Order: sequence, then C-alpha cells, then structure tokens
Amino acid sequence: MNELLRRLLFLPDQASTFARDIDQLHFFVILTTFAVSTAVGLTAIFFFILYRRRSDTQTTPHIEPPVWMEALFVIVPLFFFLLWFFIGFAEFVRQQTPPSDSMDVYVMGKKWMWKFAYPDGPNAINVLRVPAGRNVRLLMTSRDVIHSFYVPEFRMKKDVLPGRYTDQWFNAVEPGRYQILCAEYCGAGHSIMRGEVIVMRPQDYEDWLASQKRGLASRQDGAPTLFDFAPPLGNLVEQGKRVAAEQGCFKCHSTDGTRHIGPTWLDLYHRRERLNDGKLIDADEAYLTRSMMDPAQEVVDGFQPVMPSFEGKISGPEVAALVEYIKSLQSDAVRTGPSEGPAYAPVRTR
Amino acid sequence: MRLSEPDSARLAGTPPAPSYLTDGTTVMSWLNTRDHKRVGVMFLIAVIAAFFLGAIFALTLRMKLLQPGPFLMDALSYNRLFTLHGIVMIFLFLIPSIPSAFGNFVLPLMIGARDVAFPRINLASFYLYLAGAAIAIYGMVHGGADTGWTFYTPSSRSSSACSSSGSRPSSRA
Repeated sequence: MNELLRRLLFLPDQASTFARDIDQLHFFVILTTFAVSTAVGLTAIFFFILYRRRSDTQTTPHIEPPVWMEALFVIVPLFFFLLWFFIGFAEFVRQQTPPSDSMDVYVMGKKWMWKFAYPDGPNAINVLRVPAGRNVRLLMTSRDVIHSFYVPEFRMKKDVLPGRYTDQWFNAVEPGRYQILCAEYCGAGHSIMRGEVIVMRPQDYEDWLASQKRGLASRQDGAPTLFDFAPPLGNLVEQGKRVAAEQGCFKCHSTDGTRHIGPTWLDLYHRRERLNDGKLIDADEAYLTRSMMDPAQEVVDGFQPVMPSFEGKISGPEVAALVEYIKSLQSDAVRTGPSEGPAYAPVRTR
Repeated sequence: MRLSEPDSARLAGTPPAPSYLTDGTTVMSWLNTRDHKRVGVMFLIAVIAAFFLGAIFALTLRMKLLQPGPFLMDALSYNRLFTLHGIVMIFLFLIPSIPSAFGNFVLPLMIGARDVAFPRINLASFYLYLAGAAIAIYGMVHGGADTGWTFYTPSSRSSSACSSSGSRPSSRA
C-alpha cells in the first residue's frame, strides 16, 4: 500500500526514519480530500440533473436544514483538520528535537556550494558522508544569503540563514547516495547548488574517518610549502583555539573561569545567563554566534557592551571552530545557576 | 430601506436606463466615461492583457526547461524572466483583477447604488494603474531585476540590479 501510493504520487525513496511517517500523513490527507471532493462533485452533478428547472413558472422551495445536519457539516471537517494538525505538529516537534546522542556536522551554505565540517577532523565540499542508522545533527549557517538544505529522500528541508545557526537532525536508514538541493532561490547558480549525502555502512564510515585523519596528520608532518594556503590543521576544537588566539579573544575572555572584561568561556555552553535587560537566555550555538556577529545586542548582566562585531572578519568555518572550542571547555564541577556577574546583589534597605 | 410612496411611484414610472454598452459608442465615450460598469470592463481588458503578458513569460520559461543547461538563455536571463513573470502576474493581474474588474462592475449593483461614490476618482484609478504598470515593467526590463517577486533579503540586497549604488563591491568576499 505504502509503496503503491508512493509510486502513484511520484515521491522519491524513503531513506530516513522520518520519511515513512511524513508520507503516511501525506497519504491520509490526500486520500481523504480526494474521496470527499469526488463525492461533493458527483453529488453536485446529480443534484443539477435531479433538481433542474422543469417549467418556466417553477418556484424554488425554501428549505431549512435541521440543526444536527448543520452541526455535522461543521464538526466532521473540523475534526479532520484538527487531527491532521496534531499529527503534523507531533511530527514537527520530533523533527525539531535532536536526540542527545546525535553526532554533529557543521554545514555552511554559500553561493553556490555546501561545505561540511566534522568536529573531529575532515572538511568536505558538496559531499556529506554519514553512517547509516546513526542520529546526525546538522548545525547549519550561511555565509551570504538564505539557502535551504533539502534532501528529498529524507523528507527533510530547513532554511540556512546568514548570521545564525539552524539545526536539523536525521537518521539515514539505508546506505546509498542521495541528492542535496538548495530550496531557497539564491541567485544565478541556485539551480546548480547541489550536493550529495553519501550514507555509508558504519564500519566503512569509521574507516573513511580514520583515513581522513591519517591524511591530515601526514599533511601536518611535512614542512609547509607555498602551496599550502590555510591547510585545515587538526580538529575543529584546535582550530577554534587557534582562531581565538589570532583574533585576540583571550584579551577579554578567560578559559579558566576567572572574570575578565568579558564572561569566561569555561562552562559557557548551555549556561543560563541573565542579560542586562533582565532576560534569561541559554548560551547555545545560536547565542554564541549572535554574540560574535552582533555583540552589543545581548550583553550578559554585569558586563559592558565593549566587544566589537566580528561579522565579516571571521569565516563560517572559523565560527564553527570557535563554537566547538567553547563547547569543549567544560569543567567537571557541577555548577548551579549563573556563575558570572556580581557575586551578590547589594541588599536594598529602607 | 423602505421607500416612501412617492419615491416608489416615481421609480416604477422611470423608463429603464440605456445599457452601458449602447450609451455612446465612440472611443472617447469609453475613455472618458464615469460609468462604473465601463471602468470595470476597461480594467478587465487591462488585467487580461497583463495576464497574457505574464503567460508569454511563463511559456518562455517552460520552453527553456525543455533541455537542461544553457538553452535559449543563460541563468541570469532566466532569473530575470521569472521575476518579470512573477511581478506581472502578482501585481498587475492577481491583485487588481477581482476588486478592480469585478468589484467595479458588480459591487454597486449588489448594494443597490447607482454608481460608486466618486466616479471621476474611479476613472483616474484606471489611468494610475496603466501608468504604474508601465513604470514597473520599464523599471524591471531596464534595471534587470533578478530577485524573484518576493525580493528576499539579503539575496535581493546583494543583487547588482537592485542595490542603490549599482556595482557595489562585495563586502563578504
């Protein structure tokens, strides 16, 4: 049944754990509306013939429908629309909530290509390699205009925006190759902004990852030549540490928990911070990125808005590396509540 | 509203008004009309002309898609063409069609009015529509907008055709 409908509607293969659920909702909606609209159309034609005007002087009788019939016509469609809404909403929430055990891949869209960076090593252009049967979370941002990351076989589409991170997770079922398309018009090369997800068997993926790391290591071993422009050195955490040093982040931010001109980076990731306007925020990837691009907008309470914007000064992969570096700075001590800002607020007495 | 006795007597005696089609047959009698039905018909003709213009753009787009890759035109011309198609269809056909053509013709009849409240302004709105359509099409063909009718930023902002300074250097290179 599923396969028959999929072929009838010319849908692509179902290659992720979402695909089947989304298609089933699609089939439910389309079959119901098809059946009901056919019935309405046939009834209309039948009534046209049955109640046609038979003489010039014929008058139309005034008909009052019973209340229960009017109620039926309201409640039945309402029931179906609400049912579809709740099924769709549950599926939406599921898609928006990455499982905690998912592996991260950074995605950067730019005119007109996709760049992928793995926290533990390799970078790739237009080819995303993932192991089958593993939850993968994509942390996506754009370097220029709005793009949209679309894999039809996974039933997965999410806008990729400049200056902020969006995330999307999936679990690819079958090893294979699936096309990535850009689904938001982004200029002259929009139609050729294509990539590929290569879903590998878990063992093949590990082998590939290991070979990539060996490749990186051997490149680092050799003496740098003129042709080695910006080789990707080490993993994202190390890259982030280097970027932070180059950009002078450590002049204001400490990594050992001490208070300086800016908040410390130790345990910053997912810390609950109170801003100077009283709002409580969660320091997630999106907040960290916003703080680099537009630092004066959301300043942690107790600090001055003195940080310059790094928009245009650091590239997408460098932002990803910095975020990954900040995420790696975790102390083992269990902390409760916000640690930054004045240690205690002065007590107001009358 | 209930009519008073003299009113209904007078209305009953009025001969039927001449059809809006026979009330003057010269071109000027149409172009200078204050009849809501005639203005509605002129709007209908104008939006149908806009619809055909948009349809020609659409057919050209589909012809280009007969074959992948550069065929008939390059990517930039294609983008400009679908922008033209979108803007003509949305702003010159879809939005004015129902209220201007059918609204003008039918609405005064439905509420029992003799005409719209300001017949001369009603006629002026038709000429404003023509002027606006001419400016919009000239602007797009001359400027070469390639942003799609939604004009999403930041894509539209970085498009050379739409930035105010023309060939602005890219700040994010």
